[in-house]
Amino acid sequence: MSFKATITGPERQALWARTVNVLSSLNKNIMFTVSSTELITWTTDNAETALCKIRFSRQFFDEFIFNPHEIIFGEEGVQIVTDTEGVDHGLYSFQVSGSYLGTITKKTEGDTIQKFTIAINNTTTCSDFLANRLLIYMEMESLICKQHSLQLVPVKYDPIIIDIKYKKKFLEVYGSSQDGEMIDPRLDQILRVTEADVRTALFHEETEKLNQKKDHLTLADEINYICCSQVLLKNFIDHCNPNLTRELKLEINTSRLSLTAFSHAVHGKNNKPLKNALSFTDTISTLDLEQSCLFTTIDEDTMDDDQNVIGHNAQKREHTKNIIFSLADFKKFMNIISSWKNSNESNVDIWFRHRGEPIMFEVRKPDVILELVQVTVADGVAVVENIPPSSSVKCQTMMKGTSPEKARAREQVTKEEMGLLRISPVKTIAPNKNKSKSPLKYGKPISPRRKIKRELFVNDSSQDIPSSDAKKQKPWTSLSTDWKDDASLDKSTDVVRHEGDDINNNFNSTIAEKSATTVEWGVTPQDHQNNESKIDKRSLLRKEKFKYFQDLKTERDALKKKDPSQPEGFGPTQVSKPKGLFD
Amino acid sequence: MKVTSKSSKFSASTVHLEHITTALNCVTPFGGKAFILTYIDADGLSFIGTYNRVVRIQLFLSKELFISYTYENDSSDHTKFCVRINQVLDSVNVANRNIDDIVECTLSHNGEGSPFVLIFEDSYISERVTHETFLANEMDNTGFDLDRDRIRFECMIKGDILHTALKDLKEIGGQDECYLYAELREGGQNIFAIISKSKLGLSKIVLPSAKTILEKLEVFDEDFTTLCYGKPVIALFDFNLFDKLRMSIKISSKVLLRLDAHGVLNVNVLSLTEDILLSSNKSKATSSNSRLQLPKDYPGIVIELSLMEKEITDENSMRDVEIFMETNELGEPIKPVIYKKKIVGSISSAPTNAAISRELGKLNGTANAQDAEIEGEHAIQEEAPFMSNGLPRFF
Repeated sequence: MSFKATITGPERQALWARTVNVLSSLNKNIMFTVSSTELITWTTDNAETALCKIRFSRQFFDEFIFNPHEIIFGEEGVQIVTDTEGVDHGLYSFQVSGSYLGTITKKTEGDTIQKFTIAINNTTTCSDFLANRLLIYMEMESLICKQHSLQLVPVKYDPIIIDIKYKKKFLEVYGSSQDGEMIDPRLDQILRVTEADVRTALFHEETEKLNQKKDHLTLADEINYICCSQVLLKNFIDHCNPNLTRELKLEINTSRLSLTAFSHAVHGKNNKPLKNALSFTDTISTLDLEQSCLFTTIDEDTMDDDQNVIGHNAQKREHTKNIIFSLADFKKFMNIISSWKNSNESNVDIWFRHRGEPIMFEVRKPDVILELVQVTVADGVAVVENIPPSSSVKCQTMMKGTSPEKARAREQVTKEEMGLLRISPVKTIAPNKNKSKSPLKYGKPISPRRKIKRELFVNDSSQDIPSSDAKKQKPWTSLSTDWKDDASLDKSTDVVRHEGDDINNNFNSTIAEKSATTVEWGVTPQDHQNNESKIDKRSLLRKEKFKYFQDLKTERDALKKKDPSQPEGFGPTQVSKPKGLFD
Repeated sequence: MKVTSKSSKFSASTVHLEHITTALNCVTPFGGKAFILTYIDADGLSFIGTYNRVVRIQLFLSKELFISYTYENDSSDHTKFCVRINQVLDSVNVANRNIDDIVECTLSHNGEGSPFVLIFEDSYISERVTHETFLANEMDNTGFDLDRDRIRFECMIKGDILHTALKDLKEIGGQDECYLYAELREGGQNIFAIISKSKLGLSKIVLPSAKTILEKLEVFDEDFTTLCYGKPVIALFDFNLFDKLRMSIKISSKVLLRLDAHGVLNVNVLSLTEDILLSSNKSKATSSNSRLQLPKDYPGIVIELSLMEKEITDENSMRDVEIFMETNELGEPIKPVIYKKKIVGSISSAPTNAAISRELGKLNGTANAQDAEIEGEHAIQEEAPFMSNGLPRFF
């Protein structure tokens, strides 16, 4: 007997059934991997934008037998993996059709399953037609016994290990002892659990050789962590309809966590609105969170793209992290948990990095670990590695029960660490969602990075006075700056409106390439795709508008007037922007 | 020209509309838009339907169901005519929706050529529905009658369990064929199972062998008189046809299945009055059930179904089925039980097609080294008696 696992008990049956249902709704094939300690079932959706993985430990099953050495048929699925401690583990992986499995495990009315067994017999005693079949055996309450033989395809286990990568980074960044600081015991426990996970993991990514020293953190090391009760998320998600609001934005700063479900307006020809923008926001104080660790930066010197120090800005900014991902998959994931009794007590762990990098959710239950990894939407903000230090980076840890005053006091104790240059988003390319590589697998952010373009001639705009720097460096008013600058946290309606506008802007904008001294219209940069040429015009236009207003402010000579008859102009959602010469 | 109608008069009235609906629902899978033969005689009303000449239903409503029942016929003792059953069902359903008031339904028919009339009356409304009828040819019942001298297996099982199994099978979906498997084992652990082959693979549903559920199971030997232990009877049926029996089994309390040597599966559905689900709409049934009790001496709906077995042409799938039945939950083969045979008389009758193909399968199987350990025991014990029987060898 090569593999057998038995589930009894209605709660566990329900969890299993829900797992199978959710996984089969993502992809028509479900992957299984069996090891001597656990059963992992996982799948990604067709576009590889979401990965859902549920790990059942051996104790979840009433009976668990695994003998990989007895497998004769379907030996392509057998793998021997050595873990970090040098112990060999045998694995067997296979793929089955999710829809069929779902049909079989569906709860029939009036008859409950007493015992549910899955088994594979690819051993010498197996007959021809039962080879490579997943045998599912159910004993019902009515004494009927059902058995199904489902075709399986043995595969090799090649996992997407974002979870290990993130956990390692988390330990690196937050786990190192901070001088003179006491680590909250809760955080300590989380770190311990994470460390155990990383240690026992079988698959690790190849360690990248970093030139930087380990004790200096850069923006590339950014990793944020939130731990909150699943009730908070569930309450919000239950009110959301994935058909109306496609995406979910999660924003967090030191005082608040905000969840926004939204969808953009859809315009047809001539800007006729086909669908209105819609958003729904829930704001929670961070005091209600179990734990949160935010990676923030302090810019001591602001730089411009040409690395000329323009001004000293010692003021630290309160950073708001925000990240956007799809709502539908997240809602399905939360639904798996709801079937479990005592689900109110469980917490959801969230790890995320910059926008564009995948976000990871994890829920731990006794004997079951549920994980969801999703790609996120990237905007124009770019990060470049290996830049000479000029600003400091600090890690900010927020704990439950800490008041903002105490938090600020803690912030005084910062480390002088190597920072990095905030590159003007103008220099980078907008998110290109048509990457052939799975963003989950290769861990690259959706927005690629480019080198800084060094110009011989300095533009007028780079000589601006520092006060407008903050705004100038990010002409795309992302939500974080809006929140900070306008203190519009309390004005929920304004926020909503801003969001509607800015979301549009952020997603429609690409960063245009600056030519040396003149701005050209209608020139499509080589690297861009054809369908972004229109967007380029729009972003160029916006850029020019900004410059124009700045010039008015500083009373400089107006730039050349542009051709007023723009092909598209701005959509009707741009109500908050003053209409200028170009509209 | 007026056709001189033979003088026969039939009139029956009842208030149990749900009961009529339930009964007609069992017949609908066989007819749909086609015509169902209605047979009226002094004892009651029968509906007989066939489908492609391979499956037949005979549903009998005894006269005790009706408040008044009159049947007069001068020339013969029965009347036969064909009517569209779905239309009759529709009219009864419409009347059945009236839950506020008791509706009395009167069925009548006056001789050949006259329409089948249903009159629905309640306190305020009287509705008369006329269904055209036409004469029926003589029903060719050959092939459907069970040969009681050549029964291969007989099984009496509780109806609700069998219905659960059939419903499960239906939900899996995608099957073309299903097998009935019956095997007697020592110690009362008899096996009665339904196996289906679909795109999921082979699925089997083993019905419980407890005496309270599987009340009787008898598997007969080739001579049809002695019980045979350890050797299963496997019969193949088309799944769509088999599924037509499901509605009838739904209302049953007990089902008697018998398979004869000619491949006719006879299913007798016994539905006791108290156990009947009076309508598919359970909420309605509960509300009106409390008001209308069926008459005390009414035996319930009597249904007899006959289904033709399919010939097993693929020996490999037959062997697969056997092996599948012999594997336990882990997919490991259970050690085959050494069967005893109470040999009473000599083997005289010709084996059926199924038996021949099974033997072929087994003889082929012995050549296969893998199956040797599973089937070896069978082969050793079986080959000798059967080969000496002068079985025709087809290879």
